Amino acid sequence: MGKQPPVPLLINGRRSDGRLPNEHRPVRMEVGVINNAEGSALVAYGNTVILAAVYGPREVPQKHLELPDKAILRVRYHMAPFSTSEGRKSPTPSRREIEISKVIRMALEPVVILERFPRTTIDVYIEVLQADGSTRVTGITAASLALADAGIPMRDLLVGVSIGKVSGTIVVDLNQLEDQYGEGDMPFAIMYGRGLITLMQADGEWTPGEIGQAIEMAFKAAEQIYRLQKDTLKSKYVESSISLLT
Amino acid sequence: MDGEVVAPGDVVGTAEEYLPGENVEVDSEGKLRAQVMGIVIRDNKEHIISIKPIKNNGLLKMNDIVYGKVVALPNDRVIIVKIISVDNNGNKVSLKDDVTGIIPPAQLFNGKANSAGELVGIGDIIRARVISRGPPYTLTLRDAQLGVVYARCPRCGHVLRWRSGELLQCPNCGAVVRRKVSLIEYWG
Repeated sequence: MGKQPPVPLLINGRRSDGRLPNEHRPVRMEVGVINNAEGSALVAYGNTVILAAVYGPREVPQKHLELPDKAILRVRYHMAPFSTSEGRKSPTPSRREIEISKVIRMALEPVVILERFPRTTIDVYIEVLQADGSTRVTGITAASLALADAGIPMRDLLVGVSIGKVSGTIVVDLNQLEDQYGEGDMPFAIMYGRGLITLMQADGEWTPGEIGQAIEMAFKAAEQIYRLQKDTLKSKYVESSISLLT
Repeated sequence: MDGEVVAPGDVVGTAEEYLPGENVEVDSEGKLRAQVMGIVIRDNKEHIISIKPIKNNGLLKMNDIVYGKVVALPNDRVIIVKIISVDNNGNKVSLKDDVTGIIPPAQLFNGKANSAGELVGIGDIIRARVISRGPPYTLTLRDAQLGVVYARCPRCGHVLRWRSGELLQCPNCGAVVRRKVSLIEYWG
């Protein structure tokens, strides 16, 4: 580890923002925030705020990309120039953004039932409005919510949770400070209802015991987010469903 | 319990109770799970459970009447159309995203055509019916109500007027053009 953090990351079992190691930041969700998109969602994990929009299924503009048996999924993870605390970020997709786009796409592909729409594309745009750590997992939660809002068939909702290691302790939902100065991080994408993991990455040194603990903590944190996702989706549609039945 | 709203992944029953219908699948544990946001519909006679989606996707269905612009006539045989709107009980609803349609030579009209260019021209707006799942959608013009609804003069570009039967005339230069004209609708 190179630099020393400006504030201690863990004192007496409390983290720099006063949270306990297994405490998730407050999660806020809203669906249907963009009129022109087929589906959209705004998700906040504390100060990390992400907007996701889904377009399609629609015709693939580049014919050579389309697949005869299923739809293609295109994901664009992008950070707004004003999203970071360190001045203006260049809006050109950086190496990191391109990689995260691909990682999120691979996390979503097993969840979305692409076989239903051959020769089409489903486009997911993930825009980071405010970055305070754990942006890729917040993006996954937002993208799955937007896909469900768009009425695209899915096997389950996907929840993103990040686990990290700070001063030797496993903590859930890293913020920017812990992400930068912590000893490791491990983002997860979890299909909570089915108990499956579609994304798991790791940075830093982890013992097998710590990984087991991390997975356990991720599932525990995912449960509440998963319930909130369902409540958010249903509360939007309860009204429209009544008018559909009558 | 009919009419409850479910989200993707919600357990709506078990494999012993029902057969999975539309938008329902069986997972590895034998639970029936919803695939889309929608309303549960249980058919207790047939023991089929299905989900009626709240949002229907923007794709076209079979037998939809569509309006589109002719963009190309490759080999003078097939017609490639950019579909821009769908007919919904007499109202034209424009699509969010354009889709491609193809009219094969056999679907041009009830007869044999030597070339597609005799019956439609590039830039014409046509009324057609969808006969396949897509995209790209296969369209047909084999109906009196289907065909060209708007065309411009190939010589001077003026909007053509309907004269009689399959003939259109240019009020500007007097040219007479043959087209597969829709009998119920012509905008010129």
